[in-house]
Amino acid sequence: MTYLQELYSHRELLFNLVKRELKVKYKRSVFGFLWSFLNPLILVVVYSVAVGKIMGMDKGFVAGYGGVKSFAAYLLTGLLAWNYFANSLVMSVGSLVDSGNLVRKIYFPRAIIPFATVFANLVNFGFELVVLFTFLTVIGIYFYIQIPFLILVILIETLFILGLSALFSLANVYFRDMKHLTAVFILIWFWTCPIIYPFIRVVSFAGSKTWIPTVYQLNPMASIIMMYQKIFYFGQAPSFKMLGAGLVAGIVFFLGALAIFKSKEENISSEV
Amino acid sequence: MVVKAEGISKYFRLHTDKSDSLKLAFLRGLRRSPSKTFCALKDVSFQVKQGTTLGIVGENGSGKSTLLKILTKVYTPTEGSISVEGKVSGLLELGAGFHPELTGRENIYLNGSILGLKKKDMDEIFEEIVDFSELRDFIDTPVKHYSSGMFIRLGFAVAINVNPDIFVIDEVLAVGDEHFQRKCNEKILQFKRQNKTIIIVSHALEELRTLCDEAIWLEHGKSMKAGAAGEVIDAYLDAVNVDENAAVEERAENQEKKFGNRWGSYEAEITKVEFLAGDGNKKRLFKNGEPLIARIHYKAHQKIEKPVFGLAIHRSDGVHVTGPNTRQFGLSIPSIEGEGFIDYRIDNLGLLKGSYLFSAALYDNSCTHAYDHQDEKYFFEVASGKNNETYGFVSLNGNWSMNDKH
Repeated sequence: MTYLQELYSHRELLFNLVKRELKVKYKRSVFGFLWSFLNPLILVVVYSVAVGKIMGMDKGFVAGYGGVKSFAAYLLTGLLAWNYFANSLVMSVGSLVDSGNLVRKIYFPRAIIPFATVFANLVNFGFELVVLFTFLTVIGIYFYIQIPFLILVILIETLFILGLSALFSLANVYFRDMKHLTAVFILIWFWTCPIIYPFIRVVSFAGSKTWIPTVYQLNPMASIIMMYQKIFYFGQAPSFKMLGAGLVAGIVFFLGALAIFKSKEENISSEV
Repeated sequence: MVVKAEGISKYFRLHTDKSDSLKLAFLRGLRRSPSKTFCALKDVSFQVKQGTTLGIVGENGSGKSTLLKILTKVYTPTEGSISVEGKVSGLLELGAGFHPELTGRENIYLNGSILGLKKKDMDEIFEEIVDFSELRDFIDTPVKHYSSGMFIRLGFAVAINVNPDIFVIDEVLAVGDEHFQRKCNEKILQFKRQNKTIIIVSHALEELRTLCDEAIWLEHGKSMKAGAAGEVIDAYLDAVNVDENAAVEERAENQEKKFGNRWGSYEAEITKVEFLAGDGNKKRLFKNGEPLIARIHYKAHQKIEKPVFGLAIHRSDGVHVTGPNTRQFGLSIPSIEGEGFIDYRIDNLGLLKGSYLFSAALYDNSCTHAYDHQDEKYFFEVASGKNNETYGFVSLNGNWSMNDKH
């Protein structure tokens, strides 16, 4: 039985762990699931004021679908996609160690633990997207026809996050500093992605050195966020080249990470 | 064979520091940490037939729990191979994965899926679990409001009702109150009647003797003996008693150095007291029902006319058990001079398990003048032997009989 099959046979456990994580997250909070809607709204207000108005990013901003110029829409797209990635990683890196009590007692494919955190964040991301959909509809950006591509992009991002969460949480079993390193790592990574500035700025900064934008796009999160923006802000399908490359890279990376995880898995219960 | 283990060994990496950190790794120049390994199991082989109840005995730290964890796939053996047919589950993982914020109901389903059950199966046994746990009134309360007893009961109820093919128990039988324990024992007997395979780790050797068909005795990770439960447990007990004798010897020496009072005029002295088994060998740990000889050595510096030897046995908490002397016994000793000894022989030791203090005394004929009185100076222990009595501290060796004609 391959590891993937084994994971699949434990899908009910995965489902229950995701449910547990979501239930616990919102239990006994007054607004409950409303927070999933509130968070992006608060984010976009803060960033629009701080980055847009005070830093002046919104002046002469690129126009999106149908000539709509909205720095807030551009910002929200990037931030939500980024937060799905960042929250998943920060929350899953310590997950194996934190579930030591479970891991030391019962056998099940260990990758389920970081994956449950990622999927709980995926559900959250889904709720946040509802806010984004509403907002875009209100300001007149029409993207609904691109939804099949959106699903592909989410799949690519999820494969990438799953792979990283497996590797990071495994590394944290051996080096507990991984948790702190991840936080720093994420902070730096944020600025290498076109979230609060458009990709066009990178191109104009590079000038004649065309290798700079090429290297920039090799950063998987930069490319993934640009695909989201293409769909949500520009209302266009991402290029097939990007989708294809993303999908192949995502699957290869995920399977590779899983193979590494599997090879070290049997030590986890005695190391946590 | 539902379980087949061949030459399994398990080594653990011992951490010298609290945890590995990158800082340390950098300081070492990213070399692998110079960790020591610890061998928890060494070359253990065994097989379990369908329907067998297997007991695993051994001291703490002998590798019993590691072996169970290998059976449940939590650990992978470092060397050797193990094959297990069927679903293994049991009383090792009580309440594992319970989340304090979730209700009893939610936790039952979560725990079930951790143990590998589908929701459909859980729906079927849910009522049974709730009944077994006797927590129906609290089933929709978050488990963080449960008492620790309730928490364990719920975990137990799930574990025992998931109906595995191989049931594994790790000395948790002493969970909860008398009533709940009885229910658990019933459930184990029910598994036995259903011809399920059961593997038990426990220190309750007499329970194991009646419950198990076969047993393995582990010591420092090695399998010392495997086979019929009774034989293995006897062999284990014998070994424990040998060790225990040495330990008792050590305890006795400390005890005799520190405690007790001594007074007298010392014209004659008691030089030492020895405890002997029926075969004349010295020992300190007796089983009840065995012979015990207390040998009191003396040295009379001058001729003592008509001396009286006496002794007393106290339970370690001070209860006076007995105090015979030669005068009351009717043994008249004309005189003593120089060195010698006197024996007090018990053919069938009636004392039950416990530690006992021993006093020896040498008096004049009127029993008023002490030449040497050593009060609670000596020490011996009794372990349970053939006698199964457990109440009180002495067996009077009475017999029960019943008139079946009424």
